[in-house]
Amino acid sequence: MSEATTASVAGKLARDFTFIKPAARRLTEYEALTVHQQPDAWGFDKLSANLDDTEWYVLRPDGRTLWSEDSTLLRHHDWYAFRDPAQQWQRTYVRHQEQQETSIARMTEDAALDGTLAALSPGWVRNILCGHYRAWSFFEYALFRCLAPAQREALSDTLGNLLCFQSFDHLRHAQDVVVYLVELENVNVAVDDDLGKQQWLEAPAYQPARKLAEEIMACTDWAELLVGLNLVVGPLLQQMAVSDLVRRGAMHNEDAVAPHIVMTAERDRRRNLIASQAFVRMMTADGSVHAAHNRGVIQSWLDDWSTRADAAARALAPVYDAAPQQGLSFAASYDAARAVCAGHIRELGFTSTLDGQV
Amino acid sequence: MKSADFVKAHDRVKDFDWKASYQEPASRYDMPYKIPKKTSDPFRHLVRDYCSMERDKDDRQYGAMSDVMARAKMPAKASERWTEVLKIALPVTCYAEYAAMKCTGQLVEGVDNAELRQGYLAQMIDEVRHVNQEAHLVRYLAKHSIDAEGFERGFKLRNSNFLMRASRAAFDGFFAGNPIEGALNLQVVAETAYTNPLFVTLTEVAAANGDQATPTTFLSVQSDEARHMANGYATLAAIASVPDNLPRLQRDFDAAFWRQHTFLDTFVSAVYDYFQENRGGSYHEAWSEWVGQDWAGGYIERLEPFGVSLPRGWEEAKERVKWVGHTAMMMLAATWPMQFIRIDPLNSRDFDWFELKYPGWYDRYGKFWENYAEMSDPAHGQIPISLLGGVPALCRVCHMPCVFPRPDISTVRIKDYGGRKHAFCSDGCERTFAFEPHRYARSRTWDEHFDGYSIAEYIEKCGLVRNDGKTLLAQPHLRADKRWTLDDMRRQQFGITDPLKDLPSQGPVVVLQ
Repeated sequence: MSEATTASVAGKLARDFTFIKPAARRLTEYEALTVHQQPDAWGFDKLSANLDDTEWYVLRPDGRTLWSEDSTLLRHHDWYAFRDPAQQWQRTYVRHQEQQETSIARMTEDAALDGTLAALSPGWVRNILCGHYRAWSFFEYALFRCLAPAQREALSDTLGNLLCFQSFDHLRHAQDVVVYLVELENVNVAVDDDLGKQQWLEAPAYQPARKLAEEIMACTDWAELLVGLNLVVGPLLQQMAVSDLVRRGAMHNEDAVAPHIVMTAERDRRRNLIASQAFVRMMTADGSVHAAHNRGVIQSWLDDWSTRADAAARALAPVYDAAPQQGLSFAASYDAARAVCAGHIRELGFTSTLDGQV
Repeated sequence: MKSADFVKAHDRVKDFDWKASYQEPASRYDMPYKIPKKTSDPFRHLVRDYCSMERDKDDRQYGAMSDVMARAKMPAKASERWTEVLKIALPVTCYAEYAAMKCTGQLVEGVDNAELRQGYLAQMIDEVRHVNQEAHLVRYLAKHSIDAEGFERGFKLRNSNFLMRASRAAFDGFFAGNPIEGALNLQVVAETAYTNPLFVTLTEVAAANGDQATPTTFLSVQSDEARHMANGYATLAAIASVPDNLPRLQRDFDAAFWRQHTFLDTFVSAVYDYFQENRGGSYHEAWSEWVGQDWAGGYIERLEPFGVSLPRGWEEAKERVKWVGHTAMMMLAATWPMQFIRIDPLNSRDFDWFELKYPGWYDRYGKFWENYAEMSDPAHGQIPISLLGGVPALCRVCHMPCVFPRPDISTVRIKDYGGRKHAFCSDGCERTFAFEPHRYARSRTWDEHFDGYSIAEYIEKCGLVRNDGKTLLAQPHLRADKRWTLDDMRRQQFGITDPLKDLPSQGPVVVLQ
């Protein structure tokens, strides 16, 4: 402990934090306000090599330590080495989300005033916006639900905060669907808000997705969620259900607002994808004693999540025919999403079950 | 959005949950409570409104700090006596925020109620906000205050400084147990009872002592706390509405109150009363208004129809709060070389203020502070802890020294459990241990960790030396001269010993069901 603190200040007065090792040459604001906020009994806060290094003040009711290496199957010698490539801390994150929400609010207001919303066809409003997009808001809600406790269990502050922000992303998106339909309802009589939940609970097209959502909410490995949601569910299933069916479909059905909402969610999705790629690279970096183990675990996760997300994606086929003006066919959407998803997986050095013939 | 639309949207976002038909959701947290599906809704915001509100607040706070306050060099003009205590107080507060964020994650999973869940999500992001704000304040003071040393490494000392260790033990309570136990510790006790004295009245003390950066940050933090208190109230009311929950609820509430009282009242009162230079009110006065009248007299009494009573130990706490801060401060000053702040001796004006605010203070603590002032010069050669005969035993539950409420009427007791001796500072801590000994019995106290270290070895190990490599980070005065060095410590006979080794046990812990 003394080496780290005294050596870094020796000779000149330090007017910045000396206890964080920056990833690059200089300490960034994100690092200064994030790193080592979570106690680390195995590293940063370890008191002595010749005492039990898992020193905890209190244990959980079942006797486990407050953070526990068995919260994930992955292994790493220093979870605190992870850095969010987007360098988000609360202020930058909230500012970004506020900008996105303000832009959606203004666009919705303008589209209501200029008649765009009133002119939307009943088929688009009922079948896609209410029957599909509103149903999908429940999927988004499930992702919020699973990521909030995942941040509790994550083994460093930089990873916990990342999961925390992603959790917020998904509730924001779920609420945006609801708010859009509320505003649309004022000017368009085709809105039926109850249809979404009904579809979500009963329609065959959504049962594999609902099954997946329930499995996701049952997943207690925070790292598995980071990998599965962002490397598989996002590029494959969210791409089809939200980007292709809603964003691309909306452009053919003269809906200006829905694509804008989706594009903000896509921006968040890209940020989470990049962060997960960085995480997987850190877990499998050459030279790490755990790299081979981690590679095996991640490969099995990718295979398993690909199978389940693929089932949910295939089941969406009938929804593509429900739009009055079809944007992209199911086959084209599905093939492209599988290819992109498999590409992300291959790029990280893994094989993908999504490669090859359907 | 029109208000009617807002109400409609708000009603709809509360209907996101559904009954699982393929797989039950995770339940990794022990949940000994039944949760009603319908509750009062504590969170009347949509994510959109939340982002807008928080961005405005962030812009005001960070804008003020980076602009006029930095240009006017305000941090360097604040009272040095006051600024010193921020070196320890801010990292302590920051961990409370971090632990709170973990609490809300447990609540989202454990409390099966969509209305409450959305309030917990907003609180989760709020807590990230507060961690960032307070870490930003520490970094800001490292950059702008007169004596940066201590600010730049305070977080590193979280596990080796005995007072900061006690803060960790207290705030671990936000997320160590079942989610409701966490909510009671965090939302019902720490936030509802203590954030007003901490973030409101303490900022008045800061401002009166020339510190504008802390009030700018803390008042912005506090503007989120009303929502958290509402989360706590809604959670508590929901749990209390199920009669089967009441026996366990009262037990967890009793433990949560005592757990937070033992650290927060002790620590905050020492910070509040001993680092003011331009003196105003006392902690006891602030406590009487915010905790005594507002929390116990208003908030908790409103829950009595539900069957929730004032916590066990409340009357004892009311008496203890008159003295615990003075006792804690005496311990802090007595062990000054092991701290990382400079502790200013009290002057005659301080003496008069303490006697006025706490009648009988001089008889109990006055001599110590006279001796402390005399011993502040290294030429004197002695450190105060050597006069006290060593560091007292530390409580196995709260990790505070077992000297409270005052050394002459300490409620310490030594008991056996699991083949080890354990010290407890009070009935409340012993009772908490007795209900779940397996959760506490493994932990090591500070003096068990550092048993056998000389004071110089401890200082070197923890990096408590300034950048010149010899002057101590801590000093028993604010002067630029007559500073103590590592060599002065090497001349000391004092060493850290674990007092439990020699103290006789008074019998086994009686385990409670």
